[in-house]
Amino acid sequence: MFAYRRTPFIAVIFAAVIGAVVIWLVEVPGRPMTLVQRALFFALSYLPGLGLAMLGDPAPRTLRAELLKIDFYAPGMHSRGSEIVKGGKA
Amino acid sequence: MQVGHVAVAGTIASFAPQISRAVGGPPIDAWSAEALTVVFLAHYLPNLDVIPIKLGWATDRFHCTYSHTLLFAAVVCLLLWPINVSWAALALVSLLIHFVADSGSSVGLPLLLPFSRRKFSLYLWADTGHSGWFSFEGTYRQAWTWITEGGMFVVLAIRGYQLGAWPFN
Repeated sequence: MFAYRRTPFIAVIFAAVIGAVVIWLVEVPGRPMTLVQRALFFALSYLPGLGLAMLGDPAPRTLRAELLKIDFYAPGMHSRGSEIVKGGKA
Repeated sequence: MQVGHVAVAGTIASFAPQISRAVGGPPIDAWSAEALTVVFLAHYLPNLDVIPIKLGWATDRFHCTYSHTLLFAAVVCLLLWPINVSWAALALVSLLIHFVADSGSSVGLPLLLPFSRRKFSLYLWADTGHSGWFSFEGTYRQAWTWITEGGMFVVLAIRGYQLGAWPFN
């Protein structure tokens, strides 16, 4: 899935930034978040954070470029989907 | 967009009071059973086009065609309008946002069918078919699906905090 081992770890940094910004923007002074609520925001922020980290990883980019060449709706292609996605080639 | 539709629909349902008030219809509470039912049904309605494909009544190319058009959204809205204005508005918003959510896919949405065959796409991620594990796997091996869908789950959590819903109560 990733070309670099560091990609999921870089995602943690992005998640920390996204989570901190979201909490800063959303939190109401009269209703501070609990530790668990903050942790939930940071955990959810890992999802877009992973996407941002993947932008700097060549493997997802290469796969996307390969998949864009394939017409999954052409006759017979849908049944070949599994081998296509695993191989990344038509 | 695949799993992210759940977060998108949940977010729309959180705005049910504002949407129903905007059209002057019967009030609907945020995340009430009524709001969730109408929004989830309407939001997932376009993707039910896989049913005729699976039954062999249509080819694979039928996916993301007529069910992903402005005309389809208008027809659903007009059918619901005499029954419940708020449902019609919620369904319209749900359908239109479904199209926005799918606009990143390379499959392209023929929004103007049957008047124009032009397809609209932001080409953020490559489409990998309408169903199956490979479609799921192929989608989630691409960056922008995580950014958009993951981002929507963060937005859903924000709405949870704003509305004081569990676990933010």
